[in-house]
Amino acid sequence: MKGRRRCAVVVCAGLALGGETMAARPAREGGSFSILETLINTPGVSTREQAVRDRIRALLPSWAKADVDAKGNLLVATGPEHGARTLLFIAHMDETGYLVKAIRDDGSLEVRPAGGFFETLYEGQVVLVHAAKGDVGGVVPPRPNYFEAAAAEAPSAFAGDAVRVELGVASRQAAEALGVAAGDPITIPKAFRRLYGSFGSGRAVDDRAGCTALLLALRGLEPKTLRNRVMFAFSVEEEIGLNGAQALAQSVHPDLAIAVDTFVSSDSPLERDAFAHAVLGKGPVVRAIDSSNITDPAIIDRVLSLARQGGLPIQYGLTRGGNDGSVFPEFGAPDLALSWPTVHSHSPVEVIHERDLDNLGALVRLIAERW
Amino acid sequence: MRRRVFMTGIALLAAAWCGTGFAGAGQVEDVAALMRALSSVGGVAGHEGQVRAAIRKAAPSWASFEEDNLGNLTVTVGSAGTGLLLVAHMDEPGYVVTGITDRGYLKLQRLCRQPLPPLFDQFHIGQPLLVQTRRGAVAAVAVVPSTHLWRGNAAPLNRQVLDEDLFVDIGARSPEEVGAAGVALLDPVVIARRVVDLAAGKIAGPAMDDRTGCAALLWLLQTLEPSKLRGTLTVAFSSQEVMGGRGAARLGNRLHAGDVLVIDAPSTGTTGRTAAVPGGGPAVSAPGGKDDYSQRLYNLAAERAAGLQMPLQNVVFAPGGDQSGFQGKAQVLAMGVPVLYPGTPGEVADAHDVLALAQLLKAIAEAER
Repeated sequence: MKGRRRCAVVVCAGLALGGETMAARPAREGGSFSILETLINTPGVSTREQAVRDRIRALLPSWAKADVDAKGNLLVATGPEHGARTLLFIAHMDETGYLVKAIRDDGSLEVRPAGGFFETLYEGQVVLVHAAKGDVGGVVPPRPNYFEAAAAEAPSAFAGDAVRVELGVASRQAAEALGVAAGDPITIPKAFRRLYGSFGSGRAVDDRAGCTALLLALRGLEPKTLRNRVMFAFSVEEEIGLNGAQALAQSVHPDLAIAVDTFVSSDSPLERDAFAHAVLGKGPVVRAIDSSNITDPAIIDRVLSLARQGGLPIQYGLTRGGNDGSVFPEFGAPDLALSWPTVHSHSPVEVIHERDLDNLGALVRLIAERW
Repeated sequence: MRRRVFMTGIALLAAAWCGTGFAGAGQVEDVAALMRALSSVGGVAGHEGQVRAAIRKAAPSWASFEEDNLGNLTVTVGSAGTGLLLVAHMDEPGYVVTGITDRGYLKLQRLCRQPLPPLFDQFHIGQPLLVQTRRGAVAAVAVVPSTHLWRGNAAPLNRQVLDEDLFVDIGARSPEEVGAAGVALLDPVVIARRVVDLAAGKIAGPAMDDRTGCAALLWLLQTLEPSKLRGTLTVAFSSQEVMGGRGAARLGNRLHAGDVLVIDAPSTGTTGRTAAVPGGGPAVSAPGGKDDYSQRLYNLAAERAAGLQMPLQNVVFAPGGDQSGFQGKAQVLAMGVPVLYPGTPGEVADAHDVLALAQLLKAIAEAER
């Protein structure tokens, strides 16, 4: 073992093993959770979305021609070139995580977070550094005084420079010999898990579920029957400032931008239900108001009407967070955000209901066909 | 001062030890595989069945195990002379289900009487869990506040999280659905297993304390040559150590070995770190002290380690562990391997240390005592 270059051996018992989760139903072949699982298990920290982009390409229908812009956004356009309207659906490929900032002399890694999350969720946990030559195993050491009573006095005081990653080496040279370099992304070992009934959980349900909904819609569309020009964008760098969407807004000028992203729900025993209370399993959500956008009520009414005509359950409400579509109104296109309800946002255990994802894919298709 | 000299000595020896390629890569990988396999199963005190099953699976076919009423697993080799007993515990700190809410969430109680870091429960919030039901494992998650709904105000996580604060979601939305999923009160709950290889033979994952001890004893059994043993050897995998060494207390009354080596992770005191370091060789308790560790066994261990050109790290072991079951009944010494970050889901141990420990134990078992 010593001296040999190897990819990290990772065992995720009870995370990915179907036999371990005896209460959960197996994923339907080609079903929404089957696609979601493939995407969630692929790491794609902001700025490092290549692997996710490749997965999405592989999951596109055979007729779809995909282009990648200079920023790294993946674009699929269909329908008449000069259709009645141009609709742009956008879901982001990236996820929160860490990036290697520097390698210290002692071989440990300084890291910086990509996106916002409770950094305590990584404390004392194992991680993977996705280096160019392969994954390298690591651990995030807990704070130095974690065994002392004082640690309980400021339990959330674990962030910024306090977060490091140890690889089991004792020098910078040894870390570099593993192939680790500044800029490498870091995630927890990723594994989608089915819960009882029709729930599923994993890191980066936000926004691989949005990507899944777009793929479901694309797979169901008949391009020749479309009257609108419909564009599907899989964007980069949403979590660190909507950067991919910003680039798209400069180059694509739709009549309506439709962000497909999480509705962070308070449907949880640790949240207050005064707002954001969309119930998991009760259908997709029109994210009417969030921290970045207020959607025209007329657009909301039209979506609700379409959904009801299509026999789809639908919810609407207000939550927090921004969405990729919010950069388009200043260029003239209204922003409509469509979602599924999720709890535990930006944690390793974001939870989603499969029926919500199925119906979100159907809603995206419905809007593409009938708007 | 004495410790500093000792530590300097072992550092030099450790450097020489690693440099000589003392352990074959194949042997280290064999031990690493055992560590991964054992860390990959959960074993809350009193519910060590999965660990027992993993041990039985990895043990050689000749090993005829006996399981007592507390779930201790023992195998004895030889039938003459003074007996040597090697004990490593199977259990780990964890939880049991103590309540089911109207909305189908599980409430938990921690099951551990040994000192744990005050952030132990926080290390579980927002993480994947496993409920180990009578019908099999059920995937679960520990509910955590959404960062979006609390951004700029981390209030929910700005006070100590305790076991009673945890809500566990298995995907059920009523007590009836919980029952239909096969989950019942008192089912054990552990963190879902994520075990990752680090560099240079180190492995990070849950419960390296004391699956490293179990791995060392399993490797010993796998490679044992009974004809070379002096006297009777009993290898025991104990239950309920974290509840005050209850399994070992049963073993102490049931077995009558003259010499007992308790194989466990050294104590970390209040710092979470031991004086020993992973990769520096096996750890051994100093003779004497509150636990009255055996000078004779210490000398034997030191002598055999020297014969193997193997460094030993002198450390403190926490009182109240398995050793308490044998005090006054046998000569006792505690040994083990250093484990970094105990009480976290990312405990780190070195396969070289585990292999060295196993080889040392084998040498002791083959020695005239």
